[in-house]
Formats: sequence, structure tokens, C-alpha cells
Amino acid sequence: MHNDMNNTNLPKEELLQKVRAQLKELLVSHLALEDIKPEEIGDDEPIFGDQGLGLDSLDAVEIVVLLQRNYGLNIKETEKGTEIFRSINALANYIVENSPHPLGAESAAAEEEK
Amino acid sequence: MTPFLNGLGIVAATGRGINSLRSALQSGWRPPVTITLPDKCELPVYPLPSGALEDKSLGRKVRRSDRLSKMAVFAAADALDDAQLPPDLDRRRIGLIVTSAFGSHTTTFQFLDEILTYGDAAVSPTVFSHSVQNAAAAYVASTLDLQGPTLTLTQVHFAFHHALLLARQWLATGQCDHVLVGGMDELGSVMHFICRSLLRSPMDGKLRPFAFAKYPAAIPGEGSAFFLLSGTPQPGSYARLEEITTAPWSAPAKAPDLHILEADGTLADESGYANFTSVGAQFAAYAPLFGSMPGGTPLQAAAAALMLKELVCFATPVTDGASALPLCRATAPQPLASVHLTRLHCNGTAGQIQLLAPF
Amino acid sequence: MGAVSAPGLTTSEALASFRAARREPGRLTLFESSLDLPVFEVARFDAAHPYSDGVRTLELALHAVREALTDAALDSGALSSARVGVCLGTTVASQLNDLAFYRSYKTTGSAPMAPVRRYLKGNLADAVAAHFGIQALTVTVTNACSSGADAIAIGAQWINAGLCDLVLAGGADELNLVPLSGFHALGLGCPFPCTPFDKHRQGLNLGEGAGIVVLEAPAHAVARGHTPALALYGHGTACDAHHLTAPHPEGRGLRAALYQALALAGVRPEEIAFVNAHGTGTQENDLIEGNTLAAIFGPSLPVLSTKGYTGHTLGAAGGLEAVFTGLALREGWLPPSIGFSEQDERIPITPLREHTEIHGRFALSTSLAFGGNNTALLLGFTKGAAQ
Repeated sequence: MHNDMNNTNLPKEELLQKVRAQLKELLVSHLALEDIKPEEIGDDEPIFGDQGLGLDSLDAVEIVVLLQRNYGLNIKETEKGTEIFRSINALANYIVENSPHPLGAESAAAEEEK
Repeated sequence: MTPFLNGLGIVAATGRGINSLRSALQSGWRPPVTITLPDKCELPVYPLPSGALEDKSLGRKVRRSDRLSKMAVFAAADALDDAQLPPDLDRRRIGLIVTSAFGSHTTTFQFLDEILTYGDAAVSPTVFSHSVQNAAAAYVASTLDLQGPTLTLTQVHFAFHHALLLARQWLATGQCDHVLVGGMDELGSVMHFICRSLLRSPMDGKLRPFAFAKYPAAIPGEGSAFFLLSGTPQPGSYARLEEITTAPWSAPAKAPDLHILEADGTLADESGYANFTSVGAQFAAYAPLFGSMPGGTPLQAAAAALMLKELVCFATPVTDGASALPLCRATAPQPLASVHLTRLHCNGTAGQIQLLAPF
Repeated sequence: MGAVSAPGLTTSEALASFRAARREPGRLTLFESSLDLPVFEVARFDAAHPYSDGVRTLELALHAVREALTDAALDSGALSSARVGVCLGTTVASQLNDLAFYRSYKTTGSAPMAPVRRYLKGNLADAVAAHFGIQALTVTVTNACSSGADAIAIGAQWINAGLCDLVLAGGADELNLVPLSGFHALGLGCPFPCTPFDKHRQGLNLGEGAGIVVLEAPAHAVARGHTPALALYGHGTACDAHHLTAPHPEGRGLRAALYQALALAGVRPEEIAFVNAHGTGTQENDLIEGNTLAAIFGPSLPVLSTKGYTGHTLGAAGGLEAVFTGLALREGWLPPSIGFSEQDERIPITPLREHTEIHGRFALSTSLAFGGNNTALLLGFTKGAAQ
């Protein structure tokens, strides 16, 4: 049985919370943010630029690849650098609304095996 | 013009820094680390000790960088620190030349792996960026704010020698006041496989530079060493760079007090080193401490520089095969005036560096 | 001078393409890729030569070197009696990046050593020197996109230091999957033929080729009765020290490199007839380079990017563009900066829209590398030729 909205059985707010947590883990490990713990990243903290997490243009294109591999999302040119990348909240919302497997590719594979 | 070596940084099997280099030179031969390859074969190697590349102070600036870039950044940063240049130096007057025999192969293979795993349209841009040969130089330049000329030379033979020649030229023409020059090379799982396929390991874990063997054994090593070259001396200067050549060999005008032979098993036939044993009051070979590296000259030059500064001759770690040669057999203070380094090319030319005591 | 690239197998063929303002980007044929991006392959280039182990980059380099030596009236006798240097820039040819080798290792745990042996046999400069039997100073520069230009600057320094009488300098690179895939991943690949400096530019196309100049010490040229028309009067190189993939927002390193080249040559900005820009077609490069050039030379500087004709040839670019700069001075004209049509209001310079006669003694070629190095080469007519 699947929830039509997001292909999981979870209520939206709970799903968003899980996605936010996963995203933070992903960013810290994949972008080698060694001095930061995932739980230290604020949900509304700016991801790019000098304030907040301070990621740069190379991190941005790397995140595009992470979104593709982990969430099956293909970010179009026009979407880059816009609202969806502004914060963890914005990214998580985008993932929940657009991804075929918002809990990540591994959980989707696990689902298929059931 | 004879530039001065005014700063030294090193990270290698001997550890990170000059103190650990000195300790390693004083302690002599240590056994290599034995690693087990996926096919269960064993390979002795001289890797960096664990923890050598952990550094909180540089952390954020090199967070994404690969291991090779980290090696270069740490060694270059240490060399710059060691030189104790004035803090208000014009950064445009500092040049940088980074050399490597094999370049960033682990990251290149990682990128090829991405192509095979995810397809060529879905690879990681960060991995690609780091596989570019001058990525390490880019990290060194941005971490240390070096705005002068920056070069990366990647070639198996004599890259470091050519870098020294160029650095000397940049200083002589006034293009730079200082030049950071160094070399870097790393091990990695594919490189282990390549070494296992192409090289012969010694049964007892000892490199024997003085065997001058026709089919020498080798123990692969890794590491990075950088020197800060300047036109003027300082109280802490290590040495003066008298001459660099990469030509068919000819004996220097004056025999050096110490002649370091860079035999390390990376040539198919090392018997040619025997031709050099007529030139020098004493001989030594330090590859048994660093491992075998075609680009290993900077590491051995670091040892030479330390000896000239501290006026001590460190015992050559493995003396097998050299019973008749005047070796430096015991570590002792010595008023060294000149140290010479020689590394052979398979085509018969020799990369030679002549260092003099700084004062 | 010698050049092989998409516009032609020789400098004459390239000039013919430039005169016709013709370019031929095409689909990839040299290797397999899922990426459908336009590339600038050197067509009709038969790389089946036994002495190069089939290494296309070496073949391209040798081809251009042969043309340059003929142009300089130098035969093998002249090479063996002089102190010669070979300094070449490349990216692809100096890496252990053989995909078949790695695939074999990954899937079976083993792989044939032939690609490794090829790598060990020598770098590009060594291989070229060995081919001509030259006992030379040989250096291979791997400075990403400025390698070819850096190699030429090094050659000049060797001559000025009295180490060499002659230097074969420049760069070569073959088309390769690694940069094709990598630049695409960075979002820098353009899905249509590139449009350097254009308002709607979307990135670069890759190309391949080799551009070689023969640098000669004046005394050596005089002694053999040779009077070259062109000379390298200045060069400059400086690092942005800013970021691994993005140029400094104010073009700090490029500015320094340009002023160094001008100072070394003793030439004022107003004396520069034109600039062959790096002009890759990416948003950032063209913006920063365009603004920096305008700031130093004024907005009406004649400028073009030949990458619209050749694609971005990576290690070869600096060499090819030095040759094209020399050719333009010699021929007295520049082709249009192909691909450019609409002005980007944020870029004060306007690349040439049509075939343009040029007058003037000096010109510059710029190269901005991945990783932040910037190199400028200043070429000009020798005194005799200028008159």
C-alpha cells in the first residue's frame, strides 16, 4: 500500500523530518564537512555563501549529482542556484514533492524487494 | 645565482615534519608495512604513518581535497612556516612549482570508477576537479595565498630537477623573491597492483641501494617534500643550491663531502650507479627510509638539506654490498661543506643536484 | 610555427578555415560516450604510426612539430648541432587514465601493463625529443588549460638563461572521455557549438590538436642566416589563489599576468593590436576575462576567441593560440570571433564580428587555467620585419 503523494506510508511532516536529517548526513559525509556534525546544521540556515554553511559553486554541482544518485532527481539548468538550494528546508521540500523515492535510492531498493 | 634553501617541509614514511625526519635518519632502517592485496598477495610498502594527514588548523581549506593534495599542502605549508618570512610579504612575488612522477592517479582511477559505475553522464564533478594534474598546486596556492607564477610538472624522470632550474631562473630574473618548490607522489590500491606486477619485492624488507643490482628489488613509498627557495640567505638557511644538471653524466669539478646515491630499485638496472663511486669523500643512500619513488628526489634532498644545516652526517641505513666504499656508517657531527645527489635515468643521463653549506 | 586542430591539419588549412569563417563541430567518433555534445575532432588525421604506440596526443604533437621545424628551416642536422629544449604542455597524455586498463582491473582484479609501460616510457616532451634523436632539456607541463602557454614561457626562459639555442614549445592534447565527462559534470559543457563571449553562451566544447612554436636564441638565428619575422617579447604568469574551479571575480591573476607581459616587453597597452582571448564560452571565464581586458586595453580592443573554431583543446590551447596570434600578425588580418553574435551587457569588450584587417606590431594571447593560473604571451614583429 502506498501513499499517492510521496510513495511512502509516512505523514508528510514526519517524512520531511526524515529527509532533512538524511540530507544533513549526506552533505556532511559527501562534501567532507569534517568540522560539522549533521545535527548542527540549521533547517533554515543558508547553504551557500559566506553566511551559514558556506558551501561554494563546486559543492553546488556536486549536490546536483547527489540529488540525482540518491533521489532520482534531474535538476534542470534553470533550477540551479534558485530557491530550492537556499536551505535544508527548501531542498527537503523539493525532494518530497518531486522524488520517486524521497527516502533515498537505497530505501527504494529495499522497498522493491519486499 | 645560487638560491638558498630557506624552508623545508616534509610528510613521508618518516612522518610529518623536520623533527620526525631527523629521528628517522638517526634511528636508521625500519621494516616496511606489509599490505595484503585483493588477490591475497602481499606487498611491502612505505606509506605515510596513520594520522600524518590530520591537521585541524588547515582543515576547512582542504576539506574536499584528496590525499595527494593534502600531502602537498601540508609539506608546502610547513616549508613556508619554517622559512619564517615576514607576514606582510607581497604574495605576488612568491612562485610555486609542484612536481610529481605519477600525479593524482588514485583520484583519476576513482573518476574512471565513477564512469563505470554511474555512466559518463552522471559522474562527480568534485572527483573530476581533483583528478586534474594541477589540483594540488591549486590547493597549495589558495591555502597559502600564493599569487605568483604557479606550475605543475608531471613526468616520471627529473621533474624536481627541472623545477629547481626554473625556480632559479625566476629568482635570477627577479620575477619572484621566493619560490616554493616540491614534489609529491602517493600510493593507492591500483598503484599497489601496478607495483606488484612490475616490481620485485626484497624477501627481507630491505632496499639495498649499494647492491648496484641488475634487477633490483623495490619497496614503493609515498610522500611530499617542499623547499622555500630565496635569493638571499637567512639565519635558518639549510643550504645553497650550487648546480642542477640533467645531462649525460660528467664528474663535478670538486668531489663532494657526501654523495647521496638515489638508487631505490625503480630502475630496471641500477648497475650504472657504480660509475659514480669515484666521486665523493663519503657515500650514503637514504631510499631505505622513504621507499622507492621515481619522483623521490625531494625527500632525499630534504635529508641532504638537514645535514648541511645541522652539520651532521646521518648513517646510511643499509650498507649491504658496499664493503669497499667509504660510507657514512655512523651518525656523527661533521663540518659538511657540500652534498651531492645523483639519480639515474634509464637512458644513461643523470639528474644531479649540488648543495653547499649555506655559510 | 606548426598547428593541427579542427580547422586544419596545417597552418595554411587553418587560415583557409578562418578566412572562410568556417567551423565544423561534429559528433563524437573517436570513442564511445553517452554524452551527445558537439566536439571539435581533428578529422582526416590518421594516427596509425608505429613509433608512437598509437598515442594520438604524441602523433598530433609530432605532426605540428614537423610543420614548425620546416617553417623554421631547421633539419635534423641543425637540431643535433644545437642545444635544444623540448617543453610541451598537455593534460590527457600525462595521466594514468586508461579506461580499459581500469575496467579490467576492477572486474577481474588484473590488467595488462601495456598502458602503464607507455606512461613510464616517457612523458610527451621526452617522446618528442626521442623521436628526433635530440639530447634535450625536456619538460612536460601539466598546468591544465594554460599548459601550452606556460610551456612557451618556460622555453623563452631557458633561452634567456643560456641553457638552449632552440626550444620546441607548445602543447598537445587528444580528445578524451575523462575531461568530456568531467566538464559536463561541472555544468560547463555546451550542448550546441560554443559561443564565446555571447550573451547566451552556455559553456565550452572540447577539441583536440597541437600548436608548436620554435623559439630560437637571436645569436643562433643570426649565425645560421635565418631572420624570423616574429618574436616572443614578453610573458607573464600569476595565480588567482582563489578557488579550484572558479576564476578570481576581479581577474586578479590575469591582470597581474598581463601587466607582467607588457612590462617584460616594454610595450604599452595602446600598442597592442589585438588579443587572442582564452574565451572558452563559459559564463564565468568570459565575464571575468572580458572585463579584465576592457579595464586594461579599453572596450574597443580588437579581441577574438579562436575556441569557436577549435573547441577548448586544454593542454594544446596555449600553443595553438600562440600560433594563431603569430599567424594573424603575419597575415595582417583576423577572422571573426565565430559563435559571437549578441553582446552581453556585463562584458564591455565586443569580439570581432567579421574578417578584420589589423595594423600594429604587437599582440597578446591569454590562457586562464582551471585551478587559477593565468598566463599571457606577448608576440610581435621583429624590428627588421616591422619595417
